[in-house]
Amino acid sequence: MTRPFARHTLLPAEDLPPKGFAAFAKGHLAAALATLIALVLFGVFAGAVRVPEWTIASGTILAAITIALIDRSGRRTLARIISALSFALLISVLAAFTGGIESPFLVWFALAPINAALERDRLQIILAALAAAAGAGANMWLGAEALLPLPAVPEAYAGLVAALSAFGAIACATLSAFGIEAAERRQTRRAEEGEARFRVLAEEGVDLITRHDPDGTINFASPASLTLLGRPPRDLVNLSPLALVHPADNARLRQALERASQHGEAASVDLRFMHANGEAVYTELRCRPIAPEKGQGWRGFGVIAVTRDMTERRRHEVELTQARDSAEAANRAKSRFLANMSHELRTPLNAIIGFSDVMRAEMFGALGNARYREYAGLIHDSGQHLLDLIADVLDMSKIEAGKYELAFAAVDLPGLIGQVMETMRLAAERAGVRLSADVPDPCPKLKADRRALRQILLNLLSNAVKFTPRGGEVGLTLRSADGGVSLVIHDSGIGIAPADLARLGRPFEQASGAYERKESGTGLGLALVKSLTEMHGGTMKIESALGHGTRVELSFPVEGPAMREASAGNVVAISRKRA
Amino acid sequence: MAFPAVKTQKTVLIVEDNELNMKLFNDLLDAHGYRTIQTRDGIEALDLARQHKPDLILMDIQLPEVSGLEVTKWLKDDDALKHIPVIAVTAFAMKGDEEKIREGGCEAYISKPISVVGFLETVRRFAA
Repeated sequence: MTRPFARHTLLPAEDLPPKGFAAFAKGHLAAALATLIALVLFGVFAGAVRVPEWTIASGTILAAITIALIDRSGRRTLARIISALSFALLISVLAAFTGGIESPFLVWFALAPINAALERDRLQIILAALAAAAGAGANMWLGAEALLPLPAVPEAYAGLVAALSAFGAIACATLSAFGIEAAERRQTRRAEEGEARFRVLAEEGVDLITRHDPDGTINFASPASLTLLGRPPRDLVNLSPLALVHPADNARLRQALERASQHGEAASVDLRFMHANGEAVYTELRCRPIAPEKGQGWRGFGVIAVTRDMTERRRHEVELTQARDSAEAANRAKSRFLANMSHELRTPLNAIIGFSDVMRAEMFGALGNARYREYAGLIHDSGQHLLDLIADVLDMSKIEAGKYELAFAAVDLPGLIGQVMETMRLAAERAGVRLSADVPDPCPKLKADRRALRQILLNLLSNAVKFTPRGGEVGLTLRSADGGVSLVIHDSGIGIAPADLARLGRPFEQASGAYERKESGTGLGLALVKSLTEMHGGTMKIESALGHGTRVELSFPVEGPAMREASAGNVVAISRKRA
Repeated sequence: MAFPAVKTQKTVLIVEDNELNMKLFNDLLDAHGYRTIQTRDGIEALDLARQHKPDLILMDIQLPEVSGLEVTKWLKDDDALKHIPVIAVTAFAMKGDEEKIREGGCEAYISKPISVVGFLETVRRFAA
């Protein structure tokens, strides 16, 4: 019996106060041990061990074993009942052999309900008391019927046994009393600790905690009322909270409190309490019924409410709303501005392009000098260029606002490239630049926005033509590439300095100073190409060497942007070594 | 460029508030044998249309006082005038502008700046 009372693993620790039951079980073990010793002593004194002694000894030892077994299975109430019954039986037998109703051991019956009291279970106390009463009654009956055996205690020892019994009973009762007192003390301490914890929550919390009668009247308020409402808790007691809130919120508060007190449901409501200084405090009040499981009083449930200061959060919300509104207003203003700008620039451009077109076509007869015709052409081209810029600015601002929408569909690449080449042919001829396209047959498939792809190609090709001197060449190459399509536009132009390469593709930055001849442009073209390519899930890569040309490679995933994450554009500077 | 002969001279009402653009349209139409009536005012445009019964109206959309769309609506609400084709010639050339203007009752839409060839072609088609 090294560890007879190992706690049963099926029992949660809190279900079994270890001290209580262990002490109980140990008591029984000690009793069994004492009985064994007594048996031996008795045998020495009396010379022989008779039936009553055996009964007592085996009863005690059996009870201890039973309890030990029950402890392992965790059924404590049963253990207690067995204990109480076996105790009553023990005393009954002991009394029967020591003079029946006059036995000095009869006093031990009184201990049965006292011991049961340790468990704080009224039923067990009644059971123990009944068992003890039954034992005493049985002894009375046996005595009356003269069925009692002869007293087992020799005449000479009777006094000693009576004294031992009395003192033993007193000692046992005292121990039980101590046990009850200790349990009582533990419970009081636990209750006090719990209350202290609650009081800290109520007193130190920033939220206001209030308790209400079923009709709403405040019967407790936490000290947070001083900071939240500018009123000490005692000023709130016996008030209705309806008197403390903004009149407009009165009805909502009443509804919330009634839901808790009349329907037993938790409720939450945003409302303005009136601070003592007259200002409204934005709060959230959450309330719930107190102890709804105990049933409703005739006036309803008591209510507990927690009121939290929401001023800060509300201020944040207001600020956020204002920020969003002003951002939206700014965006609307920008859109309006762009629409206006487009309209206002197109109006004079109409006259510029229209009149120069009439002159260029010599609609009213030949111009006197060939130069005038050339100038009319230049005016017309410049007007067209200005128009392209307006379109670029609008597109770029749409892309930046996330409002540029793409429609993905299978694109007829050879057809599109043919059209673009045709569009560029005249400009290339005029610039004296050879233009070529290399498209494989069969042509790789591509899902893209046709309009955007056209714009990409036109921007890159017109850039290439613009920066390539007379006699140079510009080429477009289309290839199937690793899971996608690769589009390369190369030229034998003036090239871009490495320092300028990094800035390319950002709106409103032109690689200034890098060109041998000054060219007009906002740098928007390349930024548009880069943005539109990335919107397709593709990447743009630029390689350039000053004086030798530029190569722009675009890679598109076949299925559009879903296939590849749009990555930051790769702008790579590679200095080509030339002999 | 040869001036095409116009058998019966067609009349075009030009509603345009920009002086230079008015001159451009007027000169182009005049050179191609059209008679023109000009106004920079939407309300006057309605009176002129009633008075001259033009074969075609070129309508700027942004006008002082009333918009070209409003004037077009009046024209199309008038049984005596609604058969006259209205071509919007406008610098409102952003996405969706053409749809809006066509929904407003204009038979055709030309964005500014115009292409001279396209402009004359459209006028010829609707004035026939």
